[in-house]
Amino acid sequence: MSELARKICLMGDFGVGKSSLVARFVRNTFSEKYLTTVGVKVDSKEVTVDRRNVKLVVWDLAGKAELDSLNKSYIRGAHGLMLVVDGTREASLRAALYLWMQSQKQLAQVPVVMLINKLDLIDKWEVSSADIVRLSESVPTFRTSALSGEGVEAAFAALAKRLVESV
Amino acid sequence: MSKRAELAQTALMRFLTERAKPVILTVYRQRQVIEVEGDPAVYGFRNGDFSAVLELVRNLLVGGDASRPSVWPLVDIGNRRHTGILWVPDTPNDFIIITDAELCGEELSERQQAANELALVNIEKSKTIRELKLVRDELQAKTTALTETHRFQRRLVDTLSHDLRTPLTSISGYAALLEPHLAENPVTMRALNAIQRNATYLKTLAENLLHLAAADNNNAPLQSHPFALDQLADDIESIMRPMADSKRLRLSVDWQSTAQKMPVFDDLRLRQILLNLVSNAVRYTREGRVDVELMYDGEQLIARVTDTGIGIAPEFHDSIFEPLNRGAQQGCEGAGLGLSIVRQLVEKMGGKITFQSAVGIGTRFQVLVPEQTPSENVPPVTDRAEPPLRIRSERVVIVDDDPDVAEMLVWSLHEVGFVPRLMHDPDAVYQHVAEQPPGLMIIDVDLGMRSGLAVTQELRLRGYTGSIIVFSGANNTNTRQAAKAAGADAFLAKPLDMPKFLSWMKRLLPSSD
Repeated sequence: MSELARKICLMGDFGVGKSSLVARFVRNTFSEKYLTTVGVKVDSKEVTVDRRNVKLVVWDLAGKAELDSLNKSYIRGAHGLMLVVDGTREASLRAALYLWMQSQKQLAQVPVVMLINKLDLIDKWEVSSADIVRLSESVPTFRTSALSGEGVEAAFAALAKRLVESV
Repeated sequence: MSKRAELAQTALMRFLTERAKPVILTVYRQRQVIEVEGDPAVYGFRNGDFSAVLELVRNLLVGGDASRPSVWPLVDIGNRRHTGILWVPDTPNDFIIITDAELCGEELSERQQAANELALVNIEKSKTIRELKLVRDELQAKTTALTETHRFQRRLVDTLSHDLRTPLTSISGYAALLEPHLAENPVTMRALNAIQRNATYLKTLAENLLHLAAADNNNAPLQSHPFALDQLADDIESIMRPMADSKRLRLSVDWQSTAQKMPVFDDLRLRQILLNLVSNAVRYTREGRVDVELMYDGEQLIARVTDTGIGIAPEFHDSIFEPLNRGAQQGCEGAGLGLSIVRQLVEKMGGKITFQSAVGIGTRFQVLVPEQTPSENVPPVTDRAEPPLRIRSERVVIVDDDPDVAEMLVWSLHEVGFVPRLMHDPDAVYQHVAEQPPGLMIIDVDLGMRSGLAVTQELRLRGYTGSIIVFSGANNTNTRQAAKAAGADAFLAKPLDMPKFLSWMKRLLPSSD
């Protein structure tokens, strides 16, 4: 049995790759087909942080550019947030920042990490390096690819570490 | 509760039960299902295995308060099946109530999927449109830059080739004048031959450059009209003879017509084709001969140019008509423009060019051009047909601001019996002509600040009725037509073919009548 269980919520605009990131992290799979998430899908995976087993309960929320009542109810009690951005859509960065701002009214100061996803499409990115540098100054920011898996483990591990540290 | 109310409540419960398909699990410490109400198979729970739902509920409770009731609507329990899950804590056992949200979830899922997919497509479409606009703007900028460069190059080539013609007139003219004076000295004759040979090459090159520079060359209609085949043959021979003689090559230009009429072709372009082919033949033949044959049968003209030159290696046979191709020349100098222009002109006339060649033996080019339809409004003034000039006195006024060409004309005309007078200032010309009208005026179109055509027109307006010949480096239809409109009797293109010009002038002398 895990010593510690922590609830983390993935938030971000639709189509940014939240479910794909969860599939890559939990099941190490990837599908090219886009399937929208309705409501919430909850998965879990145990990770080890500093020799301590942590069960990450991952809430994959339906993608929205702003926090609606359903998602507000889902994030209640979350220990950490994972904000996901599609690197090829600059608008999804603005959506993620807005969701973060809205969630702060609902949650206490919880650990947050930012994932700039679709690193495999780097030649189409609209999110600039300058933006990422600026983001990194206020939130741990990871460039990820659910397709290749690049950066995914590191992002979840970083959040898990911060969750453990915040206990 | 009344009986009716009880009936209504029963009906409502039945309805809700049918729609919600509730399954109530009585559980012990979140780990063991003690009792089941409803049909768990609806949600995929079979054979009493509830481990998945227990795990899901334990996950849902993380971060929440398990001692208080909780509800989670629209939870995906796998395979995109959506349920509502209620947690009802109690003592000694707790309850998990699972309800069916599939109807709601399915409808929402379809709507949301369609909406999101449409939005993603629109995002991609917007991006593509933005990128296309960028590409379009870049293309427009590049097109503008290329057009500018192209225009500049054309102007440059046009100016260069045009400016080549005036000094070439001087070089060829003075060389022709010197020839009888140097005939006895073999060393200076060789030098003079070299000058004439290279001047001929430069003339061809200038014509080719001008052809390339003329923006309307590819679109300009052919100017076809009847012309004398023998005169074309004479032209080719007289132009190429000095070059062939200087290399001790035998040059023959023969013509044959089996038709009872004059051939109809664009003779300017035909001449350009032949001059290029013969010029190449002479340049790439070290010894032996160059034979030109022109054959007209009333339906087509066949021109053959055969040499005993260096030949063209097989590996260059496919590329000799490409512009700027210099590989086939085997170390000989040349711009590599001639054959590409020849092919362009032949094809424009609907004809065909073929060749046979063997290295070290020689080359034969054959051009076959079908008879052309006569063009409308072809200017009748050309430098080949002898103009209908009548010269009443041997006094000639030459109006030219290029001292070399002017002096050469004065010298040449004096040699053949005219009394030439050189003038530069148009106002002085008008006055002189009014007082002592000459038999002939030779006027350069390019007089610097003043156009020779304007001078011609002014002379006609002032009543000068003598003959006027204008000459220009701009050998095109517009200039010829403008010269005629201004009142010129004949138009000569630079560079002047001095031997031909002088023999023609000799026949115009009043004393020769």
